[in-house]
This record gives sequence, C-alpha cells and structure tokens, in this order.
Amino acid sequence: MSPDGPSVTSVAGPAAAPKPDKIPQPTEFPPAVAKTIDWLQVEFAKWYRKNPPPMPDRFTRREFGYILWPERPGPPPFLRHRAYEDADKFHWYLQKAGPHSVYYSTAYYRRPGEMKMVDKQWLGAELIFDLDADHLVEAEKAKAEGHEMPLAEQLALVKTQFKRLLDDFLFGDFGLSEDDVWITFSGGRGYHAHVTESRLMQLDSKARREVVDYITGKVPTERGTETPDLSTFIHEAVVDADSFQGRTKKVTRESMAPATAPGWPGRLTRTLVGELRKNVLEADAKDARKWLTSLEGVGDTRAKTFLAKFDERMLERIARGNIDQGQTVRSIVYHVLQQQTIPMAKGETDEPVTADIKRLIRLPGSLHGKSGLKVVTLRREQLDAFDPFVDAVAFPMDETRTITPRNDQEMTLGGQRVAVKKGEAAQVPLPHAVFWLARQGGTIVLPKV
Amino acid sequence: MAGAVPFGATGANEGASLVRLAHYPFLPEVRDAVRQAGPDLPTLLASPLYQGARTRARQRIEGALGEGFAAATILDERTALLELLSIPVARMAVVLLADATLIKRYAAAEAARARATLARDPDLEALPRAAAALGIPIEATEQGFRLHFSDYIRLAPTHNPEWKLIRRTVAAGFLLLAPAELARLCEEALARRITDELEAERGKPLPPEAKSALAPLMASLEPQLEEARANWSSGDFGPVQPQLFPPCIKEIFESLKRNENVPHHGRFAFATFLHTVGWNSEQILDYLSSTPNFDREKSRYQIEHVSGAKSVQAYTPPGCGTMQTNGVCPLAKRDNLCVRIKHPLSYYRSQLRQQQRDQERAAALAAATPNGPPGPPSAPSPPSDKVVTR
Repeated sequence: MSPDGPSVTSVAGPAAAPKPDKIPQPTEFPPAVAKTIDWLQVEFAKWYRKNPPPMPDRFTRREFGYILWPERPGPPPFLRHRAYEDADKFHWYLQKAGPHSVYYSTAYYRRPGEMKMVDKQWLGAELIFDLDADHLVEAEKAKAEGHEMPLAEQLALVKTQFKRLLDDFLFGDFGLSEDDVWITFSGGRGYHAHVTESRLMQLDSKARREVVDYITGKVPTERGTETPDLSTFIHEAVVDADSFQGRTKKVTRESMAPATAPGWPGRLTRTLVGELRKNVLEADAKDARKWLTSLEGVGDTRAKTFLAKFDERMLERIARGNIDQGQTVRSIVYHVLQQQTIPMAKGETDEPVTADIKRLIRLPGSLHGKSGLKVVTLRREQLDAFDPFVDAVAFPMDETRTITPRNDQEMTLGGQRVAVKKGEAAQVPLPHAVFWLARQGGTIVLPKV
Repeated sequence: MAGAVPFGATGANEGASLVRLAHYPFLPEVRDAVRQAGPDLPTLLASPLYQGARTRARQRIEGALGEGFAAATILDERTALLELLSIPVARMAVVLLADATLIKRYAAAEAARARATLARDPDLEALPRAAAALGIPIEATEQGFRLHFSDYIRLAPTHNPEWKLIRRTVAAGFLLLAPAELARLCEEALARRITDELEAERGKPLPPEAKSALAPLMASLEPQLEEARANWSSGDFGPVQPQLFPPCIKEIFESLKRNENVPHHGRFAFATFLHTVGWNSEQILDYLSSTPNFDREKSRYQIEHVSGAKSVQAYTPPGCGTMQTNGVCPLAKRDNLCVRIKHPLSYYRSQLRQQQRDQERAAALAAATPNGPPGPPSAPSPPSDKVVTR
C-alpha cells in the first residue's frame, strides 16, 4: 500500500489493530414499530390470497428468494435457494408468509434448489436491464444541491431513458422483437427489461458486459492516453495532395456516417445535428459561443471560426456525414456520445445487473416491500401512458386505515392526493397507508378490540 | 471437396481430399477420412511407419510450450495422413501431462496455426466452411460476412479495444466482418472447442497399453514442461510486496481503512488479487485486520470462497476492462504503467521486474565501486518491513 500503509513483517501479521467501538444497536423494535411491521405482513399475505402472481415461464428451473419482514433491527432475513415443482406450494407460501419482497432467478438451472451456485448447473439466463432512479445523474446532482427530486419526477426521467434503451438499442440496434423482451415496472424506483431471446440467454458474463459497454457508450481510449478514440465514428480520408516547393502534403477530409445510417454511427450524426440545431443554429450568437466553448477542446478561436461558417447548409452537409471543421466537431461528437448513452449503474461503483448471470430479480405480480406497489408487466405500447402511481397501485383505494405519520407528507396514489401532518393520526386510503408505513414513515393505529 | 487445392498438392482425388483436410483437422469429414486411411491405435503409437506422426505430435506440443508451431508442408496423401494422425497423439500426450495451462496453450497454438492457414487459403469457400464447422452462423453477403451480434460478443476478443462491439455498426442485430476478422473468430472458437474437449478428456483414463506406448514421448516432454512452467511465471510472484500493488488494489485497501463501503466487485478484486500473488486467507485477514469494522470470521468465509478453499474453483482477479465496467478502477488515479497494461496482475508483475532490474543495477554499481556501500553487494536487501515470506 502507500508508504504509510501497514507494515507486515511475518506470516502471523501485525498485532491486530484495536477495533473501533461499534455503535450499540437496539435489539428490539419499539412496540409501535413491531406492530406496524406485523400489520404490513398481514396485509401483504391477505393481498397474495386474492392476487396470486402468475408463475414465470419454466418456473421449476428457477431459484426463488424472499426478503422477510424484520423481527428485530438490522438487516432483514433473506431466504434463497428455494425451488418449486408446483405453483400451489409457492402461492401457499406467499399467502402464509406475506414476504416483504419476492425474487426469482433470471437464470435457469438444472437443480435450482441446490445451496451452492456451482451445484445448480446453469442452463441460461435472461439478459436483464435495470434502470433505476438511483442511476440518474440529474437526481444525484439535485440531491447534492440540497433539493430532493420528487419520486414522480425521477420515475418520469427513468422512463424516458428506459424508452430510449428499448427503442434505440434493444428493438433498434439489436433487432429484438417485442416478443423477446419483457418490460416491467419494478414497484419501486425503476424499470426492468428481461430479454428472453434464446441466443442472448446463453451469453456468459463477459459477453453481457460487452453489451453494457455498448449501451453505455464506452468508447476505447487512444492508446496510452485518456482521449476517447473516435476513429470508429470520424474517418479521415485523403482527398487530395498539395505540392508546395517540392514537398507534398496530404489533404484530408473527415467524415461521419450519414444521419440515416444504422447503429451508433447514425445515432451520433443524428444527435449531433439535433444538438447543433438547438444550441447553435437556433440559439443567439452569445449563447452559441458559450455552449461551444463549454466543450472540452474548444477555445474562443475555434468557436469563432466555427460560428463564422456555420449555417443551415453546413448543418445539412453534416447530416450527410461531411465535416469540414474536424477538431471542433470532434469535441461536440464526444459530448453528444456521452449524452446518448444509457446510465446503467449508480455512479462508478455500482455493479451492472446486466453482467450478472445469476441474479435474483423481483417477480412480476409481486409486491414491493418498500412501497406496496406491485411489479407490473407492460407492453411497449402501454409504457407511454403508464403511471406507476395509478397503474401499479395494488391495494384497494376504497379501504382506509388510520396511521400516525412520522413526518409531514403528501402523496398522490390512485389519483387521490392525500396530505398528513407529523404526529397527527389520520385516516387514509389503504395504498397510502402501506406506502408510507413500508418506508417507515409512521405507525399503524389499529382499532381497539 | 471441389475448389483449389493449396500448397501445390498433387495426386488422385481422394489424395487431394486428404491433403486438403490435413490443414483443417476440425472439419467434420476428417474423422471418417482418417478412420479409413489410418492405422489402429497400437500401430499408430508404436509402428516405425508412423514415427513421422509421433515426431510431429512432439513438435506440436513443443510449439505449445513455446511460441507456437508452423503449418506442416503437405506434399501428398502420405504426409497429409501423418499430419492428421499427429493430432490424436498430441492430444493424448497433452491430456497425460495434465496441466491446465498447457491445455490452454496447446489449444491456442492449434487455433493460431489454423487461422494462419485460413488467412492464406486461396479457396474462397475455406473460410465459410471453417466457420460452419466451428458453429459460427455467418451469411456471406457482398459487403462481407454477416453475423448476429450475440455470436460476435460470444467469440470476439473484446478485451482488445479494436474488437469492442461499439466499434461495429450493429444494424437490426447483425454486423459485418471482413474475411480476416472472421478468421480471427474461427481461431477463438477453435481454441475454445479444443480446450473444452481436452478438459473433458482429462477425467477419462487412457488404456494402459496406450499409456506405456506413449512413455518415450512423455519422457522427452515432461522436463520441457517443467522448464516452460518456470517461464510462464503466472503462479510464482515471490514475496508479496504491497508497495508495488497497482492503484486499484491500493485504493480498495485505503477505502477499507477509511471505513467506506467497498462494493462487492471491489472486495472480490481485492481478495482474488491478494490470493493470486501468493497470500493465503490468514495472511489476507492479517492484512485486513487494520481496517475498521473488521469481522474476521465473516471475511474469512468470503476469502476462502474466492480462493478456492471453500468452493470448487479459485477465482482469478478481473482484468482492467472488467474493473472499469464494474466501477472498481480508480480512473483518476491510474498512472503511466496503468495505461500500458490490461490486468492488475500485469501491473504488479511489471513492478516486480522493474524492482529486480533496479536491484541488479544497484548491485552492479556497488560491485564496480571499490568503496561501495557496506553489505553484500550481490543482494541488496529489499525494504524488509514490507515483505512477507510465503
């Protein structure tokens, strides 16, 4: 490690550093909290009695797992390596246990119930794309600036990116059909796409990582540098030779794919044209220059030269792939490339779900234990109109419960806006009660018996 | 088997066919052709008539131990047969040598040889035929060979920036390949097939007669394998020197010390790296014991899992590409060495070599200076407080 790292002198190692005192954790929930958790479990169990989730295809080959409601503070119990030969046993368990969350494996196994992963014998796995509000740079930025982006807004933003993932990449570049892709709302903060195309289901983790790199626009850098290597997208071609005083100089022109081209090359040109139209052609001169110079590698001089030449005709030439302002355009292209990618991980440290071939994922038709919303399976054409706070509401709106809120809160579910005040017991629709209490926003008030 | 016959082969039709096949032993028709023209196993392994096949088998393995081997010169049906027969002999010997690295290297050498031949074959059908035999479903079009992107990412060496999927135009699921690129994918597919086949063979015992017939060949190969192993050097890193670790591993340790949450991929990379460079789980635990919230038992379970003590296989640390995809590579902290390597282990290996060069230079300097520094000049002591002997 660094010079001030630990000195290790023998096999036995250094004397163990004194352990910092652990913060003592309460071992019991306060009675009101324990009662609330019990109540949630009972409501979930009741719900599963009326709404048994449909079984996933080939469910006997899948592993199932559950997060249970916690009995004491700390991480909740997690059960996994369950396998079912028939649907009744599974539904019976849901109705009895009313688990906090229900998962199934995106992988198929010969023996899904084995405790060790190697013994399960992997047969294939759906290719999963998980877009989550946690992955939004915009939300992170807002949070850093001190104002939390409302959940509805975050979900709308995730949906926009999710649609791009589907239309541009899965249905577009990858040529998948609607039948190959299951779309779900996760019941929480995002959307999942499950690809069930047989060739893709056989891909190993390394190949799936390559899919992630493609979609997240991970362009290789030029050898030995940090500069992205854009030679895939911007070609340099020798178009002429200039002779001057006995020396010959190549005359090169840079070109890109026309906007109509498939895949990343065409997408980049399309976006480039769109960005230039919005930020340069249709902006006033001052803003245009500001935008240009904000890009890395574009200084005042470059921006000026570019602007002097730029007009509708040049934009049309760019749309056909002809660039004559190589350096400046190159900077814009890189900017545009970053914009067109799909964020699939939280910052730089999240593990991409897509690369994982043994993942457990929320079961469609099950309840999300942090919202009481259900995991909803959607078709592409339903996605635009889909409103998670209406269409994923699981519990009946016409039932009410009394809760004691922990904070002032307001929430619109099933089209009904409800606001409550901290500490003031209030009678609210059942979905609101579950939503708030599931995220520890209060406690239940049960009728006296 | 119509079409041009490469390498000036002559002879009757079946002869030409066998001559052609000799270059592409993975084609499905080879089995029947060899069964028809070749001897039985005891004859192949013992008869002086087939000494040529056994010699060529040894060349194949020697090539795999070193820098690969060249294509044979196939003149006629007889040399073609010997070439084809050398392959089962070589494969039996590789299985008997029972070394996973050798299997990989042998498969790679065979596959590289096949690609070199494919690249030079004037027969336009050779490449699509090889692809079909290797399970690569291509379609020949005027623009090039059309391949589904799933087959591409399954086979392409995507750790190489040149081969990243993003450098391809993927349209409606398909992309186009130039002939040389398809040949490269054939090489990958063939190397994997041979590796899988030989790994599967390792479990099955060879008949005792075959074993004893192979004994002379084995006797000449075993010492060579020993010698080659020392050069492969993947196993032995010498004493572990934490100050030479790559930035990513250092960064993870610093995060652990700062009591930050290190994601699963980070902990995995850390444990597998330390295990591979030669620490056992107790040593890794000692190393970790200075971090806050250190739970020896929990950590032990995790480390023993990745190091193979509690699981079927020992994992190797991920390469730089994977580390970057998983967000474990501290991009801003990479140094000049980082940009030249593709794997954290290469970083460490390179640092070790550099250190050794420095020490040799210091030693030479000390020896050349009459009033040099005290102490034995041939062995300048490394910073001993950082060294753990294995």
